[in-house]
Amino acid sequence: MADSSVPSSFTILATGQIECAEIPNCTNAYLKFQFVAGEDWQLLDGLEEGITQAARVPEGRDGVLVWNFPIDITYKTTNAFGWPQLVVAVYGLDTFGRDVIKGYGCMHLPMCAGRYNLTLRLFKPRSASMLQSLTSWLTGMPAEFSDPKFPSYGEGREVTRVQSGGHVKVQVNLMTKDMDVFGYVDGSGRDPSANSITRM
Amino acid sequence: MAELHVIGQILGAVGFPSQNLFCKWGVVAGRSWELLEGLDSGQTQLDLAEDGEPVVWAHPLDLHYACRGLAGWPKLYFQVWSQDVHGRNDICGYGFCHVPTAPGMYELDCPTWIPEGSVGERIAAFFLGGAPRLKYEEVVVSPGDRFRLNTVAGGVVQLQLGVITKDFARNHVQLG
Repeated sequence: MADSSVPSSFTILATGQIECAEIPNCTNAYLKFQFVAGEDWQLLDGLEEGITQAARVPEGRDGVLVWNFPIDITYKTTNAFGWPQLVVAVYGLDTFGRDVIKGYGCMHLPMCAGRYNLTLRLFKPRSASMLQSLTSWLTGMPAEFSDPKFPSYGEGREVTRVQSGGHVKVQVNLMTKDMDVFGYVDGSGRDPSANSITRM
Repeated sequence: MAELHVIGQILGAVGFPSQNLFCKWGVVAGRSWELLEGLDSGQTQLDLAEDGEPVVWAHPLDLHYACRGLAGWPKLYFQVWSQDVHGRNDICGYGFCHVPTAPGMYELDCPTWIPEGSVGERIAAFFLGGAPRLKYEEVVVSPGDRFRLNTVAGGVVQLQLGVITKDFARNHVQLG
């Protein structure tokens, strides 16, 4: 693609799927996801947020919730700061059939072109007291983050108490364009060494 | 002037005696490094994990440094604290690791240690809480005066980092 002008931005393209999840004591759940990126990032194509179908664990098998939900997103930017993060929230059904939060997870999209298996470990807020955990179980409204983007923030996390459990598996293929023109080196094309990874 | 992006996550920790942990973290860099964007210190959430499962912090890191000299490549340091049922915080581990110099994606395990007190102090800490802490916390990241310390190993902090560099090759620096 001959172009005499210098590109004014570089582009990253992520395609893949939200594959499945394993969450203890959860047999029926759906997932809401959202991409969060910095101010210099502009969405070119794809959906920045979405909801998967409601999946159920099959009878008599290991407890895996399979969504197989495609994700396809393209961003352009002038600055690598604010690299996009995938924020997920898994909601399941409790014993009375109400939607309750099962866990939040967050991970940056890979920075280096290649194919990745990401594991997003899930966590959810803990109730502040035993009384609150009892009332939230009765009313079907456990503690949730008021801002769904909260897991992607680096600030304000020190006041949250959470409990962890379960994980979501996401497969992502990442491509970049014009990063080298900008002078960026992202490490793709290197020989993978003991600590460097293309599969997480 | 070259630039360095460090983008990733403090995933969590394994191998600590408590499963109710949070982490205070920070980044230390030399005088010729300037933080352009991002937070260079913070504290993670307090997570309670099941026995045998890793503690999950999932704390995002996004740092943008400008580099005018290679000395003092950024280092991440951690203090892992546990909270008991009474809400008291006790130190569980000090550790640090360098940001990798070669661009790419990394999964890093950072081992930690805590100072060990005398037998009497350990017995008191078992009943009353309050493990000994470092008075000068720079000891964690600097190679100076450590020979008087007796320490015992703590658990491992797990990190996932991506390193992107800009214009180092133009300044004739080989990073690998």
